[in-house]
Amino acid sequence: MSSSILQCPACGRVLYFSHRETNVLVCNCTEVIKRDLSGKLSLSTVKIIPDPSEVIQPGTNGIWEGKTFKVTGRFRAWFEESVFNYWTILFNDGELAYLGEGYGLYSIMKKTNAYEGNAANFVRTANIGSKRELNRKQYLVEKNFKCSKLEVEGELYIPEYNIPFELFELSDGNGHELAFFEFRSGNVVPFEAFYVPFSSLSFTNTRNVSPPPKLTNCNNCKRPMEVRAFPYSQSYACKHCGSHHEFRTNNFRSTGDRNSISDGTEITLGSTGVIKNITYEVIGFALKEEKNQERSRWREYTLYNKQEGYAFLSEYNGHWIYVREQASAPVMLGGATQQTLIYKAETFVLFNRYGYEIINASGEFPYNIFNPEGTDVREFISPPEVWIQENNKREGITWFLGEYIDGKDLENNFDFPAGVPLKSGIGAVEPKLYISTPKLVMMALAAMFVLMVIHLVIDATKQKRPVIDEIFRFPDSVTTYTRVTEKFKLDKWRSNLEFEIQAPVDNDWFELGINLVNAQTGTEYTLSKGVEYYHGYSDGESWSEGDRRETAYLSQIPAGTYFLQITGIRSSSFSLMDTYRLKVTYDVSNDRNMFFSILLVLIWPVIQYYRIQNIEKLRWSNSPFSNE
Amino acid sequence: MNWNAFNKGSALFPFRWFIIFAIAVAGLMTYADMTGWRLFSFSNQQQWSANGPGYHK
Repeated sequence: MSSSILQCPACGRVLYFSHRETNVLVCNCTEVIKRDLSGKLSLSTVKIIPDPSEVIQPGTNGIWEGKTFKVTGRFRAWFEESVFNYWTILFNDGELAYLGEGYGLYSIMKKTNAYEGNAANFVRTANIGSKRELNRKQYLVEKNFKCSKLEVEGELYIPEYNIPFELFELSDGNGHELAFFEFRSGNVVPFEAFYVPFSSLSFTNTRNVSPPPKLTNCNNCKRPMEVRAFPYSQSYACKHCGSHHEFRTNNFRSTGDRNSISDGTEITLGSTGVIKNITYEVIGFALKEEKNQERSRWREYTLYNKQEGYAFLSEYNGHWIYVREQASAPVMLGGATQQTLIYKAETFVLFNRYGYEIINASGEFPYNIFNPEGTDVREFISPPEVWIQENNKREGITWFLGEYIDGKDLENNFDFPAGVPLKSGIGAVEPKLYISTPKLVMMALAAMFVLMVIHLVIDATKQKRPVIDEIFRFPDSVTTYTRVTEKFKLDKWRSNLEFEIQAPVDNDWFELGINLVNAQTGTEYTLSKGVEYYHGYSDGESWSEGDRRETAYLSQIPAGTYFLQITGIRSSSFSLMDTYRLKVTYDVSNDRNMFFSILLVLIWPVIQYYRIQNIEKLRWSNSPFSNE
Repeated sequence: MNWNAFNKGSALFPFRWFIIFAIAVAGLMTYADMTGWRLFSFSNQQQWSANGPGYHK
């Protein structure tokens, strides 16, 4: 890593750039110093970030893909309705990259030369939602932000210092994400973006400062407004008079609209609660209404955690969904007509599509909630999860992942002065019995496979040892004939004996009485088995029934020394059947156990399948995309 | 992957009772296979003890 020592043009302090590419540094005298390509320093007019309070700070260390990195500084970009940080990070091998951070989303962004030339052409005609080819791959343009203001902290790299600049975010649907910064027309700096969860970066030396709220006054009632998550919260509805405010030119300014202050909030604004081990503060509430025939209304609570960003709790008819914005999300190259999406092998089906308007609001919101015009929302469900796509011209395509959450769990964790509302009907992603058919089939197949493996493993240990294999002959003029065999040993704790009886009966029957006697204890196990075979010709057709070969079993016979007392009985002393063969095999396998077990284990999936079908009919009766 | 089927966050949660049921069936089959028991067999096998039922004082 190369470095150079220079002097601050304002105060003369020695300045140290820790990387050859970092080109902006905040001096201790609070002046922002630029370094040009020749190494010359000059003062910049860009502002430093006042009261920085983010978890990450210059000096924070982290790990990504096994490589350690150090954060040196950042620029904070103010877009139309959002604010995002681009932290400069230096890996231990000298590589410089960005750590994109904001709203609980984190991404490692590495500069790439793979799109030189093509990138500038690409952004020239790029529109949100357009599908374009780049380096022989299809990319969807998901976002196009215009940055109107920059602020800096620490030591950082910024390719070019020009305001305003534009940012394009593209995705190819296979996890390949790109961010193109266009600082000037024709000068596009492409980055590859790798979205990661906060916890995977193993940060150390983080900042532990509570973010100072932005204090201002309502433009209408003049009473104080406290914006807890500033600058990330970009709109505010006065809790006292319901006046709507949006952040413009350095302050919250009234939009001129207001709503009722009897807002119907069920959770106390300002209270805290825990969801999935994340402690959130409830900072906003909105009552939204679908702009369609149903005019369905739902309540939406804005939650905030400094580290994890924003989340939302959406409540409709007592059914709750916990929603978070996702950077790593599906890419719908099929456009607006696409009715299903597959994400991580899970199929999500279009359940609802709507625009919405705000009926009531109170508190703060991470975007301009008062300007939902032109927002197209599509919900794809796979209970208990839902992917929500919000698409508008200002913010581009934003994906949220929602998960059904039990109202009772929320009641234990949040402040509901009047308790959670009662549930009615079935929620769009209520998991009630829901299992997708492919998963049900997979689970049934897995259970069958396990049963087969267990059975085959046990089968491999079977002795299948012949004990007796002998032909017995009836003396003349005798219908009943008893024989006693030699003794034999059975050595397993418990096992079975298979008796295979063959008798040449012809329109006749034969019966064998089997008496297995334990020579030591005298315990007897008895069994009888008939062999019969009849055939003939009647009504122009040949027929037959029975068989000349039958099999019988003695089960669960304990170990010991045994002998057999076998009694053959034939129909008459004149019967032509005068011999029979008996083959006795010890410790044989029993495939019917496996087949019956499989049948037994399939009972649950079959019943469940029919129950799920009934529930799904109810669920989809609330959807305009139902096939019913 | 959370393998605890009784944890609501687990993908196996909807299958928790099926897993219990399948384990029970697998256990039954294993016992039957190991001891030579034919499941659902209604044979006329009978057992007689040399001592007979009951006991002498």
